[in-house]
Amino acid sequence: MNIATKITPAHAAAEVAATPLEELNPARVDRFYNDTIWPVFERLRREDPVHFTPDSEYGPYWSVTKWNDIMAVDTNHEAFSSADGIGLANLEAVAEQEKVMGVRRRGNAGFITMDEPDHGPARKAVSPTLAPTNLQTMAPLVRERAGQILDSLPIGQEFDWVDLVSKELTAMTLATLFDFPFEQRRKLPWWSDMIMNMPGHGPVESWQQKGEAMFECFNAFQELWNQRVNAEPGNDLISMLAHNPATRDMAMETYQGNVVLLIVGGNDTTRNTISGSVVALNRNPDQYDKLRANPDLILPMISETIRWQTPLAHMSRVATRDIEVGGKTIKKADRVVMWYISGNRDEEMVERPNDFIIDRERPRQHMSFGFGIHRCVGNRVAEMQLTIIWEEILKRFPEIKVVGEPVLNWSAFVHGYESLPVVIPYRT
Amino acid sequence: MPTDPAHAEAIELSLEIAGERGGDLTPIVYGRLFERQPQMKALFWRDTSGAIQGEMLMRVFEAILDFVRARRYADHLIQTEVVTHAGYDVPPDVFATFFGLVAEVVEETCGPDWTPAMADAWRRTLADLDHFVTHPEQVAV
Repeated sequence: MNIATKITPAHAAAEVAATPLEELNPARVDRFYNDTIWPVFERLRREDPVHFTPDSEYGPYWSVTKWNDIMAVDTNHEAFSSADGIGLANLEAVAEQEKVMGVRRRGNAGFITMDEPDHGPARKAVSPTLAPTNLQTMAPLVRERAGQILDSLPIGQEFDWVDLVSKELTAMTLATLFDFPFEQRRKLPWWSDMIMNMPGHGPVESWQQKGEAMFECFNAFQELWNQRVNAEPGNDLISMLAHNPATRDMAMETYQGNVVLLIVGGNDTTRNTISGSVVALNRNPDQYDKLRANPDLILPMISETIRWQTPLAHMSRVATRDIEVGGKTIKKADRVVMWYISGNRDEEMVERPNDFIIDRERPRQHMSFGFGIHRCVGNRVAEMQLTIIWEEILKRFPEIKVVGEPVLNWSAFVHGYESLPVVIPYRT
Repeated sequence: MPTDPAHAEAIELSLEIAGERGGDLTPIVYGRLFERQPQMKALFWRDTSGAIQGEMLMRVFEAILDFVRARRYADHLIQTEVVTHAGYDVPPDVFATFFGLVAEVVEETCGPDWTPAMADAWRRTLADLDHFVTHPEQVAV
């Protein structure tokens, strides 16, 4: 159940234009849910690229909205710490969650919420599994499974693309990366949804249910750890963590944080780009025609979707000292949000940034994976899955037709889709 | 510390001329990288069209331009790229090789328009870049 009502883009733009600048709160979730966020960032990039929101449901925070300023923050991990969390946290939600799960350190989402010198060795423990050379070994299995998913889809009948394709493909890949019991793979996206949503959104009905799901997830991964730590070192992510000297003695809470990072990071980004590509191609039939005519455009189309969709809208940091960004002085301990979703539409960096153009001159020019030491460790896995699924789609289906309005996530962090009704009219 | 404005201009001009004369320098630069560091080729197995290499080279050019001008992020970006690439077993000396051969290809492409001022600016810039490649840890100021 979603509690917000839909409003039109024109109303939203008028409302943004009428709001005093100092009252603009770019993280207001209903704008993401209604897909009316764009005028906010257009105005901020134009009038106040480094913007302070003094009071919000997240507390006070800075918004950095232009490409070069985001780069300056993202690459400077000495001045901008990740240790206190990488997303904006709704303060009321944190309080409610603490009632159920107890007080947990803010952040605590594995190595992405560590600063140097702890971060590097912890990230390095898992990066070989996600490195390009290892993915080459994994690619045939992903292709085989992608084919199985597509061959099982109904033809001529409406179904939810998010459920039957986007979630299923990412669940299969994540299960492979974790060497997680394959028959239970759908628990992975379900846990991700339970972690990332608040009651009333996604599958979350209550804080109690959310807490229980998280404990179920942690228990399952504790069992995996126990199996792997007592076995010969393997090539899966859990075995890598259990046997690497940098991570094998980590605290249970840190391990749980890494599990959250890998499940959510491996799930939401890829799955929302798969869904986003279908949405974007349907809204831009000329681009869909180009793709059908030239399958060599799959890779640039994937990159363009990653930019256009920006599956993670932001990352945040906390300033470790007073520092100037874009002419504004950010004070020590201030929270700073890098809006990748806005940087990806920065008119000074990307030509016609609101348009979806699959044969751009520089299709890979986007900041959706972030920059700096926390740049998405799984970016190549994501690109590989997306490329393979589209190669297999084009072999089978001339068209995937969106037949209703997609329902968007209730989140200012994960920018994606709850559901996407489609019909595949026929097979090739 | 950003470069002397005269050096920055010389670097910009050399890149501009190389861009006009040589068009897309990606195949030449990466061809030489794979000759000198053959183990790097395996990392690009998916890049059958050269698009990944092309984007990386464009980012390198943008970073060099930022590095010699305002230095808004390039120094930190280079440090962090060294750190993240270490995760893929790419050693820091690959960065030194790469920047060096970018300079080499730019010089060759500029041909008769290559000037002593450009040579001097690139020599200094490569030395400055090398500092950040060999000192990837960011130090509190």
